[in-house]
Amino acid sequence: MKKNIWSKGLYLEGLRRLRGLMITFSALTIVFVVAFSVILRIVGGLYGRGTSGLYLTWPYLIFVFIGAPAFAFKTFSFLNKRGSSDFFHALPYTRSCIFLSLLTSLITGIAAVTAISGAAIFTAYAFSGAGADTVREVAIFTFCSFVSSLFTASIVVLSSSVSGSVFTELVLSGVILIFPQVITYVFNNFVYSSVYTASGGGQYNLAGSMNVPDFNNLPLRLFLSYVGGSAEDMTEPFPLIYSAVVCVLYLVGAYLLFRFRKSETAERSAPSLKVQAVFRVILACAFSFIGTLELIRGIIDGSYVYNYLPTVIILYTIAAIAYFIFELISTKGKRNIFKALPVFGIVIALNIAFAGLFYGVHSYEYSFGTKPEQVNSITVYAYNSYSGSVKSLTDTAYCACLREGYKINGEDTVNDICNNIAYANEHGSRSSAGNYMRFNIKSGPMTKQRSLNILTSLETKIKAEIKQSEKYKKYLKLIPSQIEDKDPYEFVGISLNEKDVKKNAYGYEKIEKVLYALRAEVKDADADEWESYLKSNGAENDVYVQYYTSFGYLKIPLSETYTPNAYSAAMEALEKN
Amino acid sequence: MITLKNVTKSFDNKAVLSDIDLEIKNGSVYGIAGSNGAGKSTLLRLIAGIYKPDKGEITADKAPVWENPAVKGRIAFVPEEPYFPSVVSIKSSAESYKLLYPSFDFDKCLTLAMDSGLDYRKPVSSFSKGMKRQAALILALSQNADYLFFDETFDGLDPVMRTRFKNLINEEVISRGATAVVTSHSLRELEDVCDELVILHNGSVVYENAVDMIKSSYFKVQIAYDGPKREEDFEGLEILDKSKNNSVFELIIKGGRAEVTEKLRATEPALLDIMPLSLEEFFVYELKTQGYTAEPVKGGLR
Repeated sequence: MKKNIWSKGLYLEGLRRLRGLMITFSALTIVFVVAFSVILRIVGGLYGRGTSGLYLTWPYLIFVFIGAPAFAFKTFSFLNKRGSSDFFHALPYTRSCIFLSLLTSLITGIAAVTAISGAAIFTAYAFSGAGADTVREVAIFTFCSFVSSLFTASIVVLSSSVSGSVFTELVLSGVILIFPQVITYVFNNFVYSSVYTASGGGQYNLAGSMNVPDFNNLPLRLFLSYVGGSAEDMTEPFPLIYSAVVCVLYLVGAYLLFRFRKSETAERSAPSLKVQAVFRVILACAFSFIGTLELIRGIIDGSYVYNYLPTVIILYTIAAIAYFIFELISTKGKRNIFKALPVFGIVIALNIAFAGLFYGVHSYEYSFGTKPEQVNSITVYAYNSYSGSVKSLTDTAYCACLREGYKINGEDTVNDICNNIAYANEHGSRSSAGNYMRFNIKSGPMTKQRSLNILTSLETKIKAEIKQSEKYKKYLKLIPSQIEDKDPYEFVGISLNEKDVKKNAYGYEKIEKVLYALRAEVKDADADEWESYLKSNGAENDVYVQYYTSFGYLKIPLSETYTPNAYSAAMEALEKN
Repeated sequence: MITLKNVTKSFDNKAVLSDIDLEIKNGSVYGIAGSNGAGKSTLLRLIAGIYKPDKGEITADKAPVWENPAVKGRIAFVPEEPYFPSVVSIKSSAESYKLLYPSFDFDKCLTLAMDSGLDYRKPVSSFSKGMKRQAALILALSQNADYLFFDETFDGLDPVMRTRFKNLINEEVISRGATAVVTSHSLRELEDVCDELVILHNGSVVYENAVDMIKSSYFKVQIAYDGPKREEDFEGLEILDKSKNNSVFELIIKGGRAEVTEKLRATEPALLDIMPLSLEEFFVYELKTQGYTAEPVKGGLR
């Protein structure tokens, strides 16, 4: 490579700077692995996965959240002192060369510690006679730990490229770590509360797709997998790809900022007063936006506003304290607090703008009213997830239709819904009595969404219409298996009960045999007959298939006369138990 | 030759240097003096390629300094607060220098350290302030750079070491044709070592010339007469500053010594003392013309 892009000398100097940390973290890992292996051998514990993940891979977690950021901090710490900053910027290398050479030393340092730790952990497992699954899992953890370490290190590299003091660097690293989560949290809740049609629960899943930083942050998943003991989560490729891409983006951003970073930023909080103000505003907005979100949600909720107020006040207070304390500590001048006061107006203005946008969009979306003759179609949905008490397949089928969305055909029902909306607009969206339901109303090219309490009589009408539909009959005859048809049942478990003795039969094969027989019998049955059978044979039936669904507790009765094959399969399963 | 053309540098919208034009000739020692906050360190960092000028151009032998590794490889810079890549020892720092500067002479570094009485195996952190500066100077001199920049580096050295390092710098200039630029508050320091003097004030160059020229062209004169004297009696002399203490006039005069002496003797003084102007006196005079003076304490001494 040419000298103006990468330098071997600088690369080696970077490694010299990391030497101490590399030795420390490698030694700590080896000591941990050896000590823990001995302890596990003495107490006869598990080498493999316990409730807290793979025991011997715990040093990875420490390295991801402490080691790698410390490596990055050490590598670029010269930017925080005038003497060292001058020294590095006086070197006969371009800024690109300095950044890329030191970055490669940082990556090498992280790779070296991961490799040494990995070797120690693999050796320990090899001595323990661990199986192929454990070895595979350790390999996955090692690789994920490496990518996660690069991710956390890249955050520090990015913040060090734009700041000139340790304090600002730490604060910015925290902000970079949490700000994407804050923004997506605020955005998701904003969409969910004001434009439900665009949310994950609605038609377009805009908010759902914005959950990416929440669920695909690899270091976070690694942390949860240790705490929650769900190591298999790490095998999914998307979080790995997402985190690697974000890491690269952070490093590219850091590279660009480093190239244009002024050497005189050293020992200063920010390159300029304007950038310092931007730091303060972002920091304050990270807290205040959530506060504003809660405030508007409280206002939308009407009578519940007081439930939200304590959270709002706490978050606004934290935002203000963070804003001024940051200025005080980073600039070390009490007077600067007063100088920073006018810019706090921007934080207030941004929050007012956000509140206005939130409330405005919500009001616009929810003040929609229409006349029946202008309506092309109305689709009714269950509001949010239906969590009512469900005991029969008839209820489940109805709920499934509502969850999927049911297009209303009855002219009379459409009229009633329009009237209900008009009533709600006039008296406030919560002034109707009855259940809460959501309607997507297509009127011309636009589809609007309204969620409102409807009159019991209207719900009865909707229910009656749904129960006449083919969709309802389809769901009525759908007997979910253990591995198929998870949606919309999302079943968790299954058992067979005999009323008196409460015998349970578990096991995939036995249960599947019963379900197979039941499905075959129900498939050919008349839907109306099946419905009346379900209505007349409830939970008090002697033998039944029992589900735990997201709707509630569901039981399908089995009888010698109507479902003989399923009944005998169930009896066989119970007797063999 | 290092050339600065219309160089301007600001921090937080405050101009620290404004439209600086300067030429630093190869093979000479430049001293940069100036009032506090005049921009001496900033100027040095600009020509070392550490800071980027907001406006203007800095070149070394017609090649830009900024982001130019070829030029920066010919520069050694010692800041006011020296930085060592390794605090373990001078030797360890020298190993880093060897990696970072291709022209770094490792053996020269160790030899210079030994000659200066510094243990190159001892931790730099255990060194005194003066010893740290010596170590920084040694590392910089071992770079064998064409341009040597020292930011108030001599201020913390004892007189013996100061002389030693001044000699070492002179040796670099004479033997290798190196160019040195030294900033200092102490004009006495610069007087001994510099060929050229640059005075900065409020971000501008207010004076630039050879030190010898100052010594041979500027004089401080104390002169007294038996009777009263008029302005016309000093006609033909370029008097830059004049004050009177009782009956003794104190004059700062520019001109050739022989010519000045002859003209003053012609005025038949009762007392005449002609002394060369020290750099410090010249500095005070030069800044006085810029309105920068030490005002007497209000109310005087009680």
